[in-house]
Amino acid sequence: MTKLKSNKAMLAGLVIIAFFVLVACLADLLSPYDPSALGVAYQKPSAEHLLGTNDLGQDIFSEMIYGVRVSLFLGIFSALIVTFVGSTLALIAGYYGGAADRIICALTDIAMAVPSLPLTLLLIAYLKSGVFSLVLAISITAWTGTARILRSRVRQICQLPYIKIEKTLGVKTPVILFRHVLPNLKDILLTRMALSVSGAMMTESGLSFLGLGTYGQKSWGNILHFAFFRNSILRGQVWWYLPPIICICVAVMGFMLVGYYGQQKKD
Amino acid sequence: MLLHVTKKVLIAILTIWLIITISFVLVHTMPGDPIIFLIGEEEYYYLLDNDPAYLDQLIEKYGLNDDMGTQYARYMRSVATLDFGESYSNHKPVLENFLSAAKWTLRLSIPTLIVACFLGAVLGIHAGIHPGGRFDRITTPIFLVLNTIPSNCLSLLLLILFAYKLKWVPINGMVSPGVMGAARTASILHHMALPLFILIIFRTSGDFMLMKSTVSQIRSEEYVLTARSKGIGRQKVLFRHVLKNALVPYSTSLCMQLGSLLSGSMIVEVVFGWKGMGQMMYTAVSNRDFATAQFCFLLSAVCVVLSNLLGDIVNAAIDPRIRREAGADD
Amino acid sequence: MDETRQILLRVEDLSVSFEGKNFVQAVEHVSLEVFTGDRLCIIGETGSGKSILLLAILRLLSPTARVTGSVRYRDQDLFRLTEKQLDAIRGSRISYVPQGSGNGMNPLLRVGFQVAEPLIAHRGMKRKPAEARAVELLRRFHLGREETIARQYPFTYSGGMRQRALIAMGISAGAELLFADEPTKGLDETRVLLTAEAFNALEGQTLVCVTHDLNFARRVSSRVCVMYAANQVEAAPTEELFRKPLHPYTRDMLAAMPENGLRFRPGYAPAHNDADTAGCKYRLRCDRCSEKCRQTPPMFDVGGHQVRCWQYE
Repeated sequence: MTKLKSNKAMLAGLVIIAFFVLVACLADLLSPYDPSALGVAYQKPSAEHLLGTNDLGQDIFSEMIYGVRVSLFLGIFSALIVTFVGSTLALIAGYYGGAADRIICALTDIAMAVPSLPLTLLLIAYLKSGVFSLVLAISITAWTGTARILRSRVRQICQLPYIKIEKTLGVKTPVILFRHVLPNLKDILLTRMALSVSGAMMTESGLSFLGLGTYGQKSWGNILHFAFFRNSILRGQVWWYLPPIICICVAVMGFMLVGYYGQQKKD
Repeated sequence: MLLHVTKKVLIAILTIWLIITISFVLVHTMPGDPIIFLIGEEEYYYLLDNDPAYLDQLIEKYGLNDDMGTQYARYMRSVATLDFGESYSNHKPVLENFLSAAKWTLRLSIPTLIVACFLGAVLGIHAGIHPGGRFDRITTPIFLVLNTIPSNCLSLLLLILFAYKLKWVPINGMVSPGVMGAARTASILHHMALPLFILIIFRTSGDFMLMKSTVSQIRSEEYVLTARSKGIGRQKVLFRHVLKNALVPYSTSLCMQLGSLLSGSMIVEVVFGWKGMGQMMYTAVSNRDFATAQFCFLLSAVCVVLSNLLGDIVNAAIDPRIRREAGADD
Repeated sequence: MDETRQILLRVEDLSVSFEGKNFVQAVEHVSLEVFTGDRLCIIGETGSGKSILLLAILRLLSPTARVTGSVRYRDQDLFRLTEKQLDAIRGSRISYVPQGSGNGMNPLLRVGFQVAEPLIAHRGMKRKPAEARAVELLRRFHLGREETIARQYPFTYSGGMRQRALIAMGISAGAELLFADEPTKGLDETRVLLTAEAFNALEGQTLVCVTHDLNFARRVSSRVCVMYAANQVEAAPTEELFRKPLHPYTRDMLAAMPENGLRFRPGYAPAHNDADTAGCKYRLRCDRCSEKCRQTPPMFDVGGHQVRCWQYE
């Protein structure tokens, strides 16, 4: 019963993700205008401009479609870095144990003590805005959760008799890691990754909303930033502020559903 | 126990020192002249063009030509004497700006912490004690969704609903101008109602998820079965055996939340124009006011370290196994 | 069997199943009687449903379990009592002793207090005198340094110590019927002997003990009931059963004991959710299986020795 439910929830998440990925791939075909082309400002939605135009006269619908690319790219790219760093450290710590394990655990503890939002902000202040600094700032403290969970899992796996036997037989470390340890981590890696994407997208939308995100390329958070700070709420321009809110929520939810219910299925 | 605490305190001090050092290294390894981070970007370019002699004078004044060791020592001394320099935006000492902002943030974050801690616990226990029951099936998806909505989205949606459409609460700000006494207090309460509500929703959903998963895990432990087999009654089984054990992770998490008392409400503060710590940090970063930004970072780091320390101590006080583990180290 | 003894517990036609996606029939039509002063061991392999049987009698299973049949304790029908009435019996008249190697004690409470808990709940004692009584109880089972260890937490105990402390907890409020669940699981031979000794030192308590340890069963019990794949297949006085096992499963089980030559019969018990539930459960492994075994055999009485096998019709 619960299994069925969690499968459905996961499926819903996958459908959402697939939809956004598709839109991102087909952005050039789907968007009627160049999102950066200027025109008549503050137009209401019409057949010409499905979601009206913003303060610079840019077509909001096209902005939204290209926004999928930026938001997804930032989320997935940050999550890739987070997962890569986290799992590499986890593999080293879990496989070798001893001093390596202690050092990595201490490192994780310290990184966990660093408040992520202020550090992210500080980094952005120093690095100036841009895609790279945004990704760096998002991932610099986010790897700790993944590292910690995977480490204990790797340790468990390395305690299994057959891994111990292979170790004593002198099978090469990379062979053990890639043939036996990593395949066992596949599910947990994917669910952690999905959760990382939803976390990264949340951070990104928050930062971009504050105007600390990327310049030039507009993510949904960025669109929302201009909508909010250009008083679209006061003017009742629902078509401007609502679409980015909905898209951010739905996309984050999609990744979260896959991550959360994927994990539950494992239990 | 004493040894355990001493060890944890030493680790905390070490971590704080590391973080202070990291922030020093950050300033000196970032691209650009460190003087930018002290006087701000605009001032720097202005002086570079119009008064390079004064700029050199400033560099001398801040000792940026000294070797790293001397600079580091000077930096550590100023941190130790709580001298964090002057805010670049209003030219008041950073510490003074902080004290007035902290007051406003605490007015939001302390009630949030208290209300959410009880609400999350009570609802979480109900859902966790009968996993899959009706209460669980209703509340868990709701809190799961609330937990996933980014705070800027929820803040905006509720702002539109309650402030713009229903006009129940003011749109922005902390207090109406020109009111005094009891009316002032009432006005503050009126202004903080919505941001407080949003913060409570977020904190409660986090606390709920933690309590629910802990309780639902503990209720299937064998010792709970033993307790039930003793016929001591539902209440005692719940409080003495289930909740006492659930309290270990929950209280740790509560202590850790203390670490975000000052910096946890940034987006909500910005949306509602609440002039607290979050707003201060935000303004500092967008104006490239590095003295303030760095202070905010240090302060929140120290808060997090101290609250983690508190969590460790509380944990050891409840759980004898942790006390013993620490004792085994000597 | 001595007919003058009172019947303490009468289990009739008890079945337990877990509904859901994976249907599991954990206990099927089990009937048994426990007399005062009895020492009954329920033996069977892991998964034969013996532990579930104990929990079902005390209604300690989760609400997802479907339990049918009836259980009478003295003159009360346990399945008709309210939860409150049942709590007056649990720990006070009938108590449950979990396995010591597991997580049967609350890790955050001192052992002395946990042993004293039934006394406080059922005998109206204050905490102090109840804990003093707990120390005496621990002393009865020779735990050593009882004053000190009563103030310690369960994680400082070894598995064997925990098992004996749990027995002390079971009898602390003077329960007359003791249910023990796999008390020897995870213990080494010396600790098994100590545990057996602890059970044999009980006076005035009736014991129902679930175990898969045949030697232990022989050491502590006066009567044995054998379960196989959710069914009761044989019941007899201990010595009689070990001397002259009747059911093919029991014979094979005894033959597989080390001292009897480790002769093992291959095969598995049928799955719990097997659709084909009719017939003798052991027929797929049995070497004397006949066409008749496709029908479920009833319990046959062979001179006070009960057995569920068509051979004894």
